[in-house]
Amino acid sequence: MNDFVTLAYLDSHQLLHRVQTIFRQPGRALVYVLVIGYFVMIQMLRSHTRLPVVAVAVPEPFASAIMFSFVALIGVITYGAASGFVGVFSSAADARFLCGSRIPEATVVTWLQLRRCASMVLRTAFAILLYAFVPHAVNFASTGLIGFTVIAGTLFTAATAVPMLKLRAAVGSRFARTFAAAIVAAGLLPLAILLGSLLSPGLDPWAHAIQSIGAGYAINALFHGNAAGLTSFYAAAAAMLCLSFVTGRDLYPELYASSLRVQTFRQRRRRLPGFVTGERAYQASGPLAPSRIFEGARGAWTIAWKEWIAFMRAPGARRMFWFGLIACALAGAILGNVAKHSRNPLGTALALGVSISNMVIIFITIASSFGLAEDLRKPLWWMGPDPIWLRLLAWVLATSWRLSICMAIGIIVFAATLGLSVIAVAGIPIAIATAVYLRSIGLALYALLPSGLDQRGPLAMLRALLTYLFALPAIAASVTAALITHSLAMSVSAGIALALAEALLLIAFAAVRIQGRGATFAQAEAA
Amino acid sequence: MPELLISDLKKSFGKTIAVDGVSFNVTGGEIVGLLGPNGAGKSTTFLCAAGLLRPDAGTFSWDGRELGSKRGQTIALISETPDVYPMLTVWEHMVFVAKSCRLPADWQARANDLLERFDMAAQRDTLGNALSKGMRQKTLVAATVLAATPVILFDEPMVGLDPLGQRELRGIIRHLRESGTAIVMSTHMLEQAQTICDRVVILKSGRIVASGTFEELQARSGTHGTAEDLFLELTR
Repeated sequence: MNDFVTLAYLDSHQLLHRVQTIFRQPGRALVYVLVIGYFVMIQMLRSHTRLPVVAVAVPEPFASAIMFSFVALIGVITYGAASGFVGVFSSAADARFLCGSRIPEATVVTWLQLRRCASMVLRTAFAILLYAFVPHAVNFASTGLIGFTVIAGTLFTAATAVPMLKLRAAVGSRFARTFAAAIVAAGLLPLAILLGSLLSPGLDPWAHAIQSIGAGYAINALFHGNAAGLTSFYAAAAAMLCLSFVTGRDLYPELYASSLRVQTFRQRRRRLPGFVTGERAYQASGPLAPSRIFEGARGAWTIAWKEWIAFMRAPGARRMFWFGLIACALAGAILGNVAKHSRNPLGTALALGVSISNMVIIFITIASSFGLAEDLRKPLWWMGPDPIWLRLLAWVLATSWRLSICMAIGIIVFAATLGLSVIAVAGIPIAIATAVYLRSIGLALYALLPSGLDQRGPLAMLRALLTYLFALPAIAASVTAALITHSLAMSVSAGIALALAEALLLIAFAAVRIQGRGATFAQAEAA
Repeated sequence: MPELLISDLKKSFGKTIAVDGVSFNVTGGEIVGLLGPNGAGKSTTFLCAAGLLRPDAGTFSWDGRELGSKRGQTIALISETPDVYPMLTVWEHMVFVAKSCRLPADWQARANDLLERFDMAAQRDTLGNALSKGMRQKTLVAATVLAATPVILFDEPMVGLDPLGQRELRGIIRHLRESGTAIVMSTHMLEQAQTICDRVVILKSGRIVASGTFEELQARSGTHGTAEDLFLELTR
């Protein structure tokens, strides 16, 4: 027990100093106060409306699809662990001090697992809160019921990491990866059939057979707050944590190597989402031939050329891009099909569009944090006569095209499935403008508070709120243009023009903040 | 005197052989310099010795007793980028080491004495992220000495230190030697190595190409120039 007290001392004191550091800086403290104030205000407003707790009933085949998505997700996470990708040590110091301590390794490993699980559960809970508190008609209590299931799932998934790493150490990475791949396949195959049945009626018998397993029933029971179901789910997660204690012996070298790998990945991901490439992957990409695309770029636009080269030389980023592209196309096809077979296709399409947009905004604000330190601390980035705002604009465009293309493909497939080309014509420019707009808001907030910790915390909330707030003028312009001209083209153009103008203003704001303070930002980002 | 013995250490990363059958020893109260060009396998040797990297083969023993996977309790590694917890104060590092290593009750007096001796008393309540590189190194050394770790590996300890910092660290390393700590130090600063190390082990492409005192190596190779000339001759 004393050992756990010692480990608790380590983490509680770090947390205490982190909080003290934040509250010594009024700007950072203000953001935290604002966000907490917002949570309280919304909760107070909602408590007056007395929304009933409406348990969400997910229809088939979506309910079964959710369960098999979860199985596939467990498979992906365990595949990562089987490939030596588990971040349990928070830093090199963590590894050195804990490995050198006299605390039994199993205790340390269990503590590290608990800490990692707690961190993931907190982040998930924060994401659920964020979604529930964003100002649209989400019933908080209903979201909370689903939240319990999602948190149990997160806990279970996070707890699989150490046992899987032990399996890798014991029997080799090939066997461990095959095992994990089998879990992925066990999730993906039924998922593909279930979703495929929405597009092709020929798959219906297969889909019905999968639905009869009862996975969808289990999901709905969990979403309805079934006590026995939830207790079993949490017990399974706890059992997995116990397994960490049993298997957490003679594992320090593997944990150290995998933690370093995760830290390198996180640094790269903050700079450019999707850059999951290690040195080995760079080597695997073959000879580094110069790229002809953006070859003619001059001045600030050479940043676009640089980012393009980086993308082309990072197979992980390319894989992520293709995965996103396929996922968006698939989502477009499925949602298009759902809308097509509804009573009011256009109304359903619009409702789905709004709902998906909300999800995209929430997902992007939670999943992505900004990191420019790698660029800002390099003198090369500051060379050249072009103003900083132009360089930041080039950077924003160079790093938002992938999201633009993924969203545009989703919209095209959605429109094609529905047979409404007008959705594609209006949606593609909106998708491009949205990606630039979202990136600009992220950049402006980074320029305000560059700390990575803040970005994963209250700034994510602030970013979501500002995204909605700053969208209002663009929406107003679009509506006004529609009322005056009765033209969809004019309406879309007005909205896009205003959104892009706002994006430029946000970039200009970021430029003013960053100008001449590259080193300060690089330092603050790590804080 | 007790002795750290590293025997037949081997480590490969895929097809790249990083360390290929390295064996050497260092006794308590001795400083051994581990020299070699970049990529020679010095850091890999250190990581394996500290239990942070699993070697493919090889054994580590201290005072005749084989060290298993818990060798991190006997061998401390202080890397080129001395890693301290950014959100712990210097004193809290001491508290954590004392608690986690289950030190006897008088540890506070010893910790205070160490901070005084390393000229760090004023930084007692300073957070890790506000310490200079030299101070972070001193914090780690103080924590290691407090835990009574008998072997310390210094990976490029002088890099990035100002002349005063280098002098202070040299003084600390000599003091550790006098107190019976076995020290292995990797460095590219050959003059420093000549001044401070009792013996050197020179690695090239994962193998030991020479070992002994500078005088012995000079006599063996027939080179009578500087330490740099000797090093270049041996690693050519």
